[in-house]
Amino acid sequence: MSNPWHHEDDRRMHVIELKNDLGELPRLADELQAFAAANGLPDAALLAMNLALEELVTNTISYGYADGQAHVIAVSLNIDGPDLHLRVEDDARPFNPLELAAPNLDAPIAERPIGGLGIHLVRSMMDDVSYERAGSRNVVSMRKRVADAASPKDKHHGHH
Amino acid sequence: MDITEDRSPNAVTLILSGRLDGTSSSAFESRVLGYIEAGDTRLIIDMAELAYISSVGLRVFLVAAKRLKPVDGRLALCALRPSIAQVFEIAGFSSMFTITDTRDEAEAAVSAPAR
Repeated sequence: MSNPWHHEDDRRMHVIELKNDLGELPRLADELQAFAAANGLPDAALLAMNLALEELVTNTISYGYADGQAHVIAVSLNIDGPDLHLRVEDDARPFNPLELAAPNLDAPIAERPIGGLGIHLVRSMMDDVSYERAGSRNVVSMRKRVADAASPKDKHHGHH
Repeated sequence: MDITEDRSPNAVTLILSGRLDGTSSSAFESRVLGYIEAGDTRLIIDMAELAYISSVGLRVFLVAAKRLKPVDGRLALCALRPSIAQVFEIAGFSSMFTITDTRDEAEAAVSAPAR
């Protein structure tokens, strides 16, 4: 199996290092938009990518640290064939978002808990989500099929 | 995000433009709750120019709906882009809120007498 994190076209791979500060979210959004534009991703893919990453990064920044220190959250983007791969790595307290119970989507408004939706959105917008605790780091890996629109239009990509 | 007010005899319409996310949701929430407190309890949110929403943005609609219930207020959302409508669907919000294609339909919905 080929490694989706290694290829020669720089445009299709990007790493964003964020501080654990909610003030970083606009920069995340700007970088995602630039990445989507450079790769011809459709608006729906940009929205899904931005939503999944905002939810995870917001969780980490809001609940992941208790030490009051500065930390770095690494967000990696990679397009491999028809798939967009996203990865969020942090050194926050262990947190597996896949262990959260799904919210009750049928509850009436008055009984709806406020919040608790973010991870449900992540899982729904992505085709695959996996979690691993690697040493002192949380690593959430996601994949979304973005189809043909993600293919580069130029002809020199690949090994011809 | 920009929020523009458009007032009619029956309702206040807030026209959202841009992104309703972790950066803008608290300003939007204060604005909406401000209207409700001031007695403007028939609200329309026009989302034609809204390009992005995350869970904190969705949460504002829940807060508003809960606040409107005891005062017999009305809330209608209109003109959602397909990608935004999909987020509402996934969140299970589509069936909880009055969502219309046009602002006229939203105005009719919030103007209807109490059942």
